[in-house]
Amino acid sequence: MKTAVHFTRGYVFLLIFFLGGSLAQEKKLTVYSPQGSAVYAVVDRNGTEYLALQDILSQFGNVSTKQSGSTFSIRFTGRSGPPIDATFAQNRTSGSIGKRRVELPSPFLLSGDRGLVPVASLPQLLPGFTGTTVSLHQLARRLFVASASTNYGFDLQRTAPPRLVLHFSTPVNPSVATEPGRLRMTFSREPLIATSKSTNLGDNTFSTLTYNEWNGTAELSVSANAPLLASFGDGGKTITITAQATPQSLAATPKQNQVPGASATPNTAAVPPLPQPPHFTIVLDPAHGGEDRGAALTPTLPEKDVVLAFARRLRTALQNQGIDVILLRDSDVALSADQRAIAANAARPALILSIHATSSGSGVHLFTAMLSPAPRTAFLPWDTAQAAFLNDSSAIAAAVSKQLNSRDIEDESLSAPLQPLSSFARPAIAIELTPLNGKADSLGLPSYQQPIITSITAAITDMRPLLEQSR
Amino acid sequence: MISRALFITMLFLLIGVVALGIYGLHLKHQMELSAELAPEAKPVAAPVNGSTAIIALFVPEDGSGVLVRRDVSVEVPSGQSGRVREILRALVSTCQAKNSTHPLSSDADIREVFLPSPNLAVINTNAAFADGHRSGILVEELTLAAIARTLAVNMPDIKQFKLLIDGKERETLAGHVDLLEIYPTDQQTWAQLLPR
Repeated sequence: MKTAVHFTRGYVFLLIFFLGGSLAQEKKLTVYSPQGSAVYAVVDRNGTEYLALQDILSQFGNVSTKQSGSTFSIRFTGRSGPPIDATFAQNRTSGSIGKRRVELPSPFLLSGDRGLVPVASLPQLLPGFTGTTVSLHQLARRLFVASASTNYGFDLQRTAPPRLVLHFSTPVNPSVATEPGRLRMTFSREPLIATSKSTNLGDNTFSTLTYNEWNGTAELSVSANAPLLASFGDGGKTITITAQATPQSLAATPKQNQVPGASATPNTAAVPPLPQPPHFTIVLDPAHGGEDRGAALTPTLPEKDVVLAFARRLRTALQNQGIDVILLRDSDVALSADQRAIAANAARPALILSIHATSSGSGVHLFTAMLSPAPRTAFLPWDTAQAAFLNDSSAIAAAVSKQLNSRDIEDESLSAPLQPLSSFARPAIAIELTPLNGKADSLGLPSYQQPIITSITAAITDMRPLLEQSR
Repeated sequence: MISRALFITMLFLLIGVVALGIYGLHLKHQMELSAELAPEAKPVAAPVNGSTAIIALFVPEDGSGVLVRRDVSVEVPSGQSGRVREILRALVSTCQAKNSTHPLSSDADIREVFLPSPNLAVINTNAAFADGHRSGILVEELTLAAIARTLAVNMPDIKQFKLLIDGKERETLAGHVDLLEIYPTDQQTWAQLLPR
């Protein structure tokens, strides 16, 4: 059976390979300009890195090229100003831009209908066409045009739990990865620059904040002695990194527990500290965000706005019951399915709720992952981690259904092949809101959302003993 | 006090506006009538060389969230992959029909079907199939379930299928259900979406 599955997957991958082309990783150069950023393939020729001149110029205006023998002519028409003609020749280091002669550090090369110039020559060539200043980070292959840059600062809050708040000068949307004692944010599109490579944070929890850049990307890495969770805010201009409590870190700083009736003698030091119960935390995952608008519920009402408003109201209701709540996004930012699963799993919550909305159907749709239940083991497959928690997830879905029905709200319990639901390594369900009486406008109304929020809150309160036990 | 000439001019203009409005309404009514009477622009299935067969389509009903069986007559070629393609095209066409219970984009199409092994169908749709698909967990899942059940009943040898969009893998169909998976066609997997 396993062999059959492997063969099947092999066939599909081969087919995708032939249909979709090769996905091989390449060297790349990222060009940041005030209008946006773009990524270009870089090729090695005789130990020197080259890229196609017409590709990079097309980011700034219209380009036409002409090839005659070994001579390559290029005409660039910017957004303002007259056309600029440039001429280069195969295997020659000299060329011209307009009436100005330019010397290249390595010979100009032709590759089919493309003219290749050394990456190192770009700070010299581009201003001749665009008239703007250019700064090249050559080892990292990052090129900054005009004033394109994103700066950052940080604010260390020694609260409980401690937080490191990063403030950016422009909205950012890095991919976030966590590993033991470290959280890495990779900035592929943002012109992030730093004044120092490594900052010692001098804190018991957070140790260092490190900046690095390579192959067209920048990376910020935070080291700590506890699991870290990143959340976005302020329209993507703030990233808050929170240190999560672990049994080890709690044991390292035990509270002075006192057994009733026991005298406070030196002997109390010999009494082992009582285990500190972990916080009862719910993670709310409002789906979509940023450019991913989700379903267009009405021409002016995207799914991403409805689910965020719903999640904020649900957070308030749960907090009023003394439950800690983490929102995976509290603003209009895009997060990938993997980013959501990484952040939710790192928080080790009692329950994860993904929130969706749609313009078709009726009532409330409750989904568990379309997986077969599996035993809990030390290591869980990423794509099907939810299988180990499926029984608890189904129990939660049944509890929410019961509460909805008690308030005369129609519901349907189903399973669905859905990411990141299948990768959540805690009990998790997805909730899909549907219009009231077929009117999609109703989805955004607090009067429509509130009875559903009350039902979910009541179900979680009812199921709290099971969820506590499940941890 | 306005002059008599100006009064007459204004009167004619007013009559003109009212007449044009009535004529506009008449044209709108005529267009609606002709649209209602017009035959379906798309055939139920593309013309192919082959025999006619009665096939069972499982058509989603978005309102109730279930699949409904509908038997139709379709020209099917003798080759296996062509047969699967025409059966699925018939399913897509049914969803594209007027008053469909599960509307798909009028440009949606099944481009080709590959059978890399006897029990696996790799279905390549065009971009419009996913780009024009309604967004939602259940509404997207119903599309997968309809394909699965239609294949299971008409082509029982096919046990699994994989959906490609315009020759490439996509993470989701329309923002929700996972398209990176290979899905089984068995009844048990999709039983929740069959009429109870």
